[in-house]
Amino acid sequence: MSKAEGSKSMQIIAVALIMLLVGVGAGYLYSQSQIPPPPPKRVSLLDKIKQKGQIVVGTSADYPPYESIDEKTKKIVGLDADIVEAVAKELGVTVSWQDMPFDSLVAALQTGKIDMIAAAMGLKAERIPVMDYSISYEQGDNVVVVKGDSTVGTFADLANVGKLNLKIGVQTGTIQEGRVNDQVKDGKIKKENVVSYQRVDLMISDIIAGRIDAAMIDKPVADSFATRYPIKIVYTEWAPPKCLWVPKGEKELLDAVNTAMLKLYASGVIQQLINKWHST
Amino acid sequence: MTGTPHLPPFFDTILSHLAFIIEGLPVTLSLTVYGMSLGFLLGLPMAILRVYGGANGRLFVVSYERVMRSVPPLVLIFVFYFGIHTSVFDVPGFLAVALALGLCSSGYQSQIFRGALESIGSGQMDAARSLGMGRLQAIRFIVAPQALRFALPSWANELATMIKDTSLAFVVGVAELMRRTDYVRAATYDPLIPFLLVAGIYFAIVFPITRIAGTWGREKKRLVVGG
Repeated sequence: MSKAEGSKSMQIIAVALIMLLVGVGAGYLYSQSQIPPPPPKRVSLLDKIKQKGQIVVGTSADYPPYESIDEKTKKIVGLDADIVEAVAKELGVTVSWQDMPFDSLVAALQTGKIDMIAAAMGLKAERIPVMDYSISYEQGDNVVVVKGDSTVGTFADLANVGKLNLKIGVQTGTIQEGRVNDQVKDGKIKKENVVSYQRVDLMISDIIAGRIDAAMIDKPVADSFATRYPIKIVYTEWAPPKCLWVPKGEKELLDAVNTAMLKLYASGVIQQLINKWHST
Repeated sequence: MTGTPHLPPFFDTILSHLAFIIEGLPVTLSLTVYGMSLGFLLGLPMAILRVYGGANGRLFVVSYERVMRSVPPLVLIFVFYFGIHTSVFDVPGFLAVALALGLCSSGYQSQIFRGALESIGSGQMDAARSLGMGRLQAIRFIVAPQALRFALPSWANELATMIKDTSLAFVVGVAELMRRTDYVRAATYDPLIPFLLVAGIYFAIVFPITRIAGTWGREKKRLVVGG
């Protein structure tokens, strides 16, 4: 091979590679633009789950007492875990847990990576158009907690957080964050007094360390932390109920889940499980 | 001493945390191996194309490197995991992470190998060609073997970076070291000890690699000065 020939072959390789990439890209765009032909017969997700004998349930296992990992058995445990296992038993299938961060769950359900979400996820306006929700298994309150030796007394209006000029922490993507942000929009709480956290435990640590004065969290979570950290509840409010979430339009699955939950309610199982996990 | 050593409860807990976290190590390491291999398989040809591929080849590789080095691996992970979903082919989390880390790494590895290829004197290429070798033959038998040796220290640094980058895998539900630490943190309500433990594990893996890379680096300098 002469030098000219050599660099020519290199050029051909380069052009081939570019064409390959362009081709893959074009093929991808084409496949996206294609309107899929209507399937001859719609197979419901419930049928698929029953056929596999397994339901894939997404959760974020860092939120006790709803879901966490038992270090010894290495299994996901908690109220959500027990309810889902009981529901799956009613459906006659086993549970395959898929653990991921809380904010990845909705996307995972929409893209079919999981069949159901069980992650202490409550009703929220933004979630309703993109997913279907089961009947609720718990109506947990939202609370504001402060350090145990704080002089802040109990109050009956969330706006008092602003009046008392408390620096308040919230977890990102949660219902509580939405509540506090609404107060900010109404000018009742100052924006610079709101601190967002990815994890509840870091928020509680910051209360103990005095970096923030208060935090708004789920009541059962607050109770759970109160057994280990000196914190106290100064405000309680009604919160939207928590449900299981399934993909939009999968009526058969939703009906089957709801029927199972009503059965569990009738036999007292749901109450037993709530007592078991919220005993603190 | 008689009997088994009796550990205070504190150390007992730490050991059980450690035993739990360390089970994520195979996942972290296999992600690293897949990511580095893909990065190597793409990066080396790219580097060769950049150095010997003429103007077109260079343009292509430079653009490719720019893209791969500009996009955060996290974005690529989401693209592969959530972006590509059909009924026929579903990308599992592990594959999405390995692909994303591999592609990102290929941009960096390509740079590493380009530097190494260019450090081989052009006289060697001329000599090989004058013996009747083709260009590709010369690259394969003369230039590349030396260049790869020169690339080792930088490559080891890239390896260390990759090990640490695998902690991104959890965003799509792959439970590696970092996520298992998260489980312990959540279950024990303790944000400090589990993180210190996992920091220790990462250090124990990455330190020897960077150390060896440092030794190779000095060796390389000696070779270059001596040669």
